[in-house]
Amino acid sequence: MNTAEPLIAIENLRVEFTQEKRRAFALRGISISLYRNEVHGLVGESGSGKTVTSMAIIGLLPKPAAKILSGSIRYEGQELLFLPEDELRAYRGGKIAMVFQEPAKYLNPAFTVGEQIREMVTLHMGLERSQAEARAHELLGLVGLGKDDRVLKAYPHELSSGMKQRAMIAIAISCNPDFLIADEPTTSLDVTLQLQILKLLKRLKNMKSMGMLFISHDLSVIREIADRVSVIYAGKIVESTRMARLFEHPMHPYTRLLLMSIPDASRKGKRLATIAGQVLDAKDDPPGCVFAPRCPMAKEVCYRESPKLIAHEAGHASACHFAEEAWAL
Amino acid sequence: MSFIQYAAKRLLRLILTLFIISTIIFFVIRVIPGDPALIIGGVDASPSDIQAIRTKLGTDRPLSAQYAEFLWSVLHLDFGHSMISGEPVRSLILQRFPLTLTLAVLGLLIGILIAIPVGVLSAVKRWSGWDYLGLVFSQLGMAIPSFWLGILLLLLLAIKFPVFPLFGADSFISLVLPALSLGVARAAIILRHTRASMIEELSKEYVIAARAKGLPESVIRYKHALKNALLPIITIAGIEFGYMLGGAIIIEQVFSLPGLGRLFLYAIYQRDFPLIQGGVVFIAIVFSLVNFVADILYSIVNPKIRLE
Repeated sequence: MNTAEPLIAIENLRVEFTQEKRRAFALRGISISLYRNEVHGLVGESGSGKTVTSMAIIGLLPKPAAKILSGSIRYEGQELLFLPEDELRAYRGGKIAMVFQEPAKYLNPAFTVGEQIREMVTLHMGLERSQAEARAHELLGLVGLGKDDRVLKAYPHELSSGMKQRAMIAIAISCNPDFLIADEPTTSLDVTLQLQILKLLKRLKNMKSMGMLFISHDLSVIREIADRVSVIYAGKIVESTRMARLFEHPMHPYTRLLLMSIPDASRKGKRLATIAGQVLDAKDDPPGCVFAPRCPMAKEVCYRESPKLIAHEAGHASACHFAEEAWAL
Repeated sequence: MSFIQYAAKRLLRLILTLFIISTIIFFVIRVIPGDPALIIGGVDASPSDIQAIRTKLGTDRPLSAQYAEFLWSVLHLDFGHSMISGEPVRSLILQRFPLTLTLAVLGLLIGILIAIPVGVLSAVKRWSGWDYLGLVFSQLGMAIPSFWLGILLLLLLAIKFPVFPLFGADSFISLVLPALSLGVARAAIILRHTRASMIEELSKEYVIAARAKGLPESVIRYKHALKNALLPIITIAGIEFGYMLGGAIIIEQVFSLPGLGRLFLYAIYQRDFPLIQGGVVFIAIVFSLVNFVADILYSIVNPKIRLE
C-alpha cells in the first residue's frame, strides 16, 4: 500500500523497566512503520506497551526507570534515540505532537487555553505576541471552538470535557506537526463526543497530511479512524495489516479473540467472548510465543520458539507459527 | 465566579472577621481578672484616685456603652492616649510601623529569594546532594532561634569584621543583619513547603504534556509547575509576613531597633492599657489584611480557587 519511505520507522525496539530491582519487559522488540497521511491504529490491552511505544517515539520514557535495550526509531531517516535532549525538543511539539487521554489532567489548570497555545507557537514557530494571538484564534476555529473568543481566555476548568479535548488537539496541531500521536484521545469521553473527536482528528489529518498513531484498547474506536492497524500483546506486535483486512481475515489467534469480544448487533443474544487466562507478567521472559499460555491453539512449538512477525500476504504480517493454517475457535 | 465577585466576597469576610476579632478582644480584656484601675493606681491609691482612673479609662460606664465606644474607636483606628507618655496610641503605632514594615518586607523577600530557587531545585533533584543540602539548611534554619543567629551575625559582621553597624536604625544598611536573621528562619519554613508542593506538582500529568510540547525544563519548572505549586507557598508566606508585621520583639531587642515589637513589649511592662489594647487590635487588623491579600493572590495565581 505504501511504497514511500516511512515518516517514522520503529525497528526491533526493546524497552525494559526496572521495578523494585526486578526487570519488566515493556516492549519485546516491536517494529512499526508509520506513514504520512495515514492513521495507524495501535490496539492492545492496558499494560501491553501502547503508551510506552508513544513515549519512546517522543523521547519521554521515564528516567531512570526505563531503559532502551536495542532498536531504533527513525524520523525521515534521522535516528531519534540517543539524540541530545535539546535537539529532541525541537521534534517534540514541532514535528511530533501528542494528544492525551484525559484533557482535564493534561492541560495546565493555571493557564488559559490561549496561553497554552501561544507558548507553543512562540517556541517552535518563533511568532510574535500578536501573530501568536492570531494563530491561536485560527486554531480554535479549526477544532470547532472558534465561535466565540471566550475559549481563548478560558481556563481549562471552565470548559466541558469535549471542549477540553478540542483545546488539547488545537495545542497539539498548533505548529503543523508532521506526526500526531493520539493516546486514547476519546476514552474519557462519552460516545457522542467520541465520534465528534474522531471526525475532527480525521479531518485534521487529511487537511494537514499528517501521519497519526492512534492508540486505543478499543478496536471499535480504531476501526472508525485507522487505515492500518497493529495489534500489540505483552510488548509484542502480533499482527499488523490494513484495517479492513483485519476484520476480513485475522491471522493471529489473539486478534480473532479480540474481534469476537466486540459487541456486534449481528450476534445479538449471544454471549460475548472473553479471553481466558491472564496477560503475561511483564517480568517473565518466556522463550516461546507471549500469547501461548492463553492461546486455545497453542502447540508444543509455541512454548519453545518465539514466532517472528512475518508477512503472509502483501502488507499483512502476523507473529504466529500457524498463521496460514485454517482454524476454528 | 468573576474576580470582582470573588474579591467582594473576601472583602465582606474580612470586615466580618475584623468585627468578630474586635469583639473578642474587647470582652477578653474585660473578663481577665483584675481591675486595671487598681493595678494602675497601685497599693497607695485612695478610692477617689481609683475612681478618677476609672473615669479616665471609661471603665465606670455600662459595658454596652463601652463596647459601642470601642467599636467606634476601632473603626477610626483611634485607641486613645498612652497612659505613660500621653501621646495618641495611633501615632505611637504609626511612628514605629514603617521600621517594622521595612523589616518584615526585607525578611520575607530574603526568605522567598532563598526558599523558592532552593526548594524548586530540591524538588527537581530529589534525594540528591543538592536536596540534602537544602533539607539540612531548612532543618537548621527552623531549629536555630533567630535571636541567636542575630547575635552570631553581630559578633561576626559588626564586631569582628565591622561591615555593619552594631545597633540603631538610622540607615538601610543597619537593617541588613536583622532582616537576614528574620529571613533565614522564613526561608527555612517556606523552603519546606516549596519543596513538598513542587514534588507534588512535578508528578502531575500536565508536566508530561508540557514536555511533549517541547518546552525546556526550566520553563516547565518555573512556569508550569511553580505557578500551580504557589498556593501553599502563598499561604505560609502570608502567615509569616503577618507575624513579622506584628513586630519582631526579640530581633528588635537584639539589634536595638525601635519597632512595634519593642513598643508593645514596653507597653506590657508598664501596664499601658490603651497602648496594649490598640496594639492587639492593630496586629489583628494587619493579620486579617495580609490574609485578605493572600486570598486575592491565590485567585490570580489559580483561578480555579474562585469556584471553591
